[in-house]
Amino acid sequence: MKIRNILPILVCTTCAVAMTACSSSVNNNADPSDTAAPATNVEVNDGGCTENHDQIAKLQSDLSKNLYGIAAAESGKEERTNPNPIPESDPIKITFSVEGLSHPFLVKQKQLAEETGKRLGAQVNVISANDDVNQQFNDIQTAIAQGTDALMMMPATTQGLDAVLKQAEAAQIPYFFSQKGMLGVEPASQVLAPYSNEGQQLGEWVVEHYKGQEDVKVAIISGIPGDQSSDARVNSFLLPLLRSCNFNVVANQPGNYRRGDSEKAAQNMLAANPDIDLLFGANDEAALGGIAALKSSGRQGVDVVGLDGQTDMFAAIQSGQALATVIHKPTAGIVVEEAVDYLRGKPVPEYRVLDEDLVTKETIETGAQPAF
Amino acid sequence: MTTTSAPLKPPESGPANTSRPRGRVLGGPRLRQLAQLGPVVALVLLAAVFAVSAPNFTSSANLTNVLQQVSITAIAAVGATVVILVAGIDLSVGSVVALTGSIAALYLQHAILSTGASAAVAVLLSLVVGTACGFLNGVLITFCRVPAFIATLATLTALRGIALLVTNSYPISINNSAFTQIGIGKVGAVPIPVIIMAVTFAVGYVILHRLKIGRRIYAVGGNREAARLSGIRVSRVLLFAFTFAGLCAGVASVILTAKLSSGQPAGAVGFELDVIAAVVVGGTSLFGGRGRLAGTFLGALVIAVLGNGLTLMNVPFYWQQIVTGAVVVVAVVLDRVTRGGESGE
Repeated sequence: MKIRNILPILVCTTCAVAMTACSSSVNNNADPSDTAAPATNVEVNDGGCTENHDQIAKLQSDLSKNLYGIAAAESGKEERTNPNPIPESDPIKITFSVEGLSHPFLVKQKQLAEETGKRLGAQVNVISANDDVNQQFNDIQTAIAQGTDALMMMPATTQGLDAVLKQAEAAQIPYFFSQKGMLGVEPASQVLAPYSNEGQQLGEWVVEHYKGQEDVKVAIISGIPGDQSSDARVNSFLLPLLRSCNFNVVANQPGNYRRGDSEKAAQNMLAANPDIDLLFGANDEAALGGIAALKSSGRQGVDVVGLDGQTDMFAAIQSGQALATVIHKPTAGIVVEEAVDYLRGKPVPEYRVLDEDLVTKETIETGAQPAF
Repeated sequence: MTTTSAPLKPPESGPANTSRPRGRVLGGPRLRQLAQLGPVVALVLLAAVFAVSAPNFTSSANLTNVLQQVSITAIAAVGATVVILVAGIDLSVGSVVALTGSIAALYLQHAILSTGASAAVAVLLSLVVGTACGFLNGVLITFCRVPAFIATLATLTALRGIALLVTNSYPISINNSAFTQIGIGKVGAVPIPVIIMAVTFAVGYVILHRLKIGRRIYAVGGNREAARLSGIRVSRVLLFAFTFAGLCAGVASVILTAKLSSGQPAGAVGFELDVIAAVVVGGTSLFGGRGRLAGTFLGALVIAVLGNGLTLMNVPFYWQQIVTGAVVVVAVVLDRVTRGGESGE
């Protein structure tokens, strides 16, 4: 028998064996503890639920090293001032590097930044990096050579831009983070989204909503694997649920913060678990993907919650397809204001985290508006 | 047999072969020479336009940036040129770069904890992994007889999956300053990536024009069946081409990983398209057998200068994508029009 003939069978068998071996040995929830901020010693608060104690301890530890947890804790405490302010008569040029434009929120950020710039008389130039961190690196490098007065960024990943930001520091160009930030660098200010607070607020509401019910089965559609904002949202959402002891997380798959991938993930989880009670989407796109999966599978009686406060999600809540979301405010306008203030010599806070609003059917009826 | 008494007509001043060309040929050899100059002309034109209308384009900081930024694509394009010359294609470059970078970053991160990491070992590891991936492509294409498009499409998916698996999808940061210097350091005024790019092009030139394998590469690309019939071991040539492309991807990955001081398992998505665009704009034919490394360098530079100039002019980025796509199409059309007489379809 020629080896050429049995080779495909050999290859397939090897792959099958490798996959089974790999899936049992890889820890899908491993955290990048070596790379994030140094660990702080947190006291474990398990709310009396001893059976979830270890899981709760791990989540608390992860959150303490998470940038967004740290930012929420430090919000508004320290201040930074520009040592070389630009006089009022000189024009200001700000370059805003967004990670991409593949999500309506990112488009809203661009619009807000440009509107605020026009209002304050500063030139705001928005460049998109097509979701590639190398492209963003090059964009920022070009902006530095162009001689921009300040840089604003939504970094594509939490690591990768360190070298070019050092170049910005060497060229004495201050930089700001909007919405998503980085650890280990020296920005003038970070106005970050309350990723951990939003998750916690939603989690506490869910615990109230299911009070008295036993063994509520939850499926999680998480965000982009390896992204700290997704970790912050999911982990801070889970903490109150685990502490109240009547919830059971039966599945957790990434949906990449996009509707299409989230729908696929939700379909797989629904097929594997016939008695899910609640679907959690790490953002509204994920929740909307989950709703689409529920519709196509014809399943009834499954609740859906999300985070962001998107227009489509408001429609879903009003029509009863979803229960709740949290408004995720775009911060680009605030960062442009801060950048202009800083360049003119006024102090700005080191960290700033906005508060968030929970949205349910009742709050929409009393006038709540979508974030974007 | 008697011939006719009328004198033979002189051959047409067109393509070298005497069969009637089926495509439209505009002017023959002169246009072909012009077409080879295409990337040069395009580059000069672009540089002139941007020097005037894009602020800071001609500053030494910006020009150094452009050279530095083009080096990663250009190095991978050297390998891609060899692959395309043998009428193959390699769609897996981006995934190879991501996997290689992730493995190097993981090594540097873990070695710090035990015996002390060495930048040299990390570089060697990257080259070995890149070459191995290229060799895998080559084996699939020669031994398993899978068409290059499908084989490299499969490795594009699978290798990306492996990269995400070994890193759990997280970017892996690197704290080794010797290694990161490769991406951002300079020797005098010349950035290190540019030096590495020059060396890679030199190696590629030697392979294609000074070694026997180079002649065989052009032969296999020009006419695979004829090459086989004349005694060339086509499988060996294909295997070499794809393995070399993997090695070039490994070199590119070293620079990218050093520059970003992190392994990015989800990075370099779509990188293969940038690389192939550079090769095509440089005048190498996708059908194989025709093309020069100098053209590839110019092609990569044209695309990089285009992006850089438009960014400096504050042109919205979607225009950049549209213009880049248009440039690639024009390059291919020019290639077809000047080749129309030689082989037809």
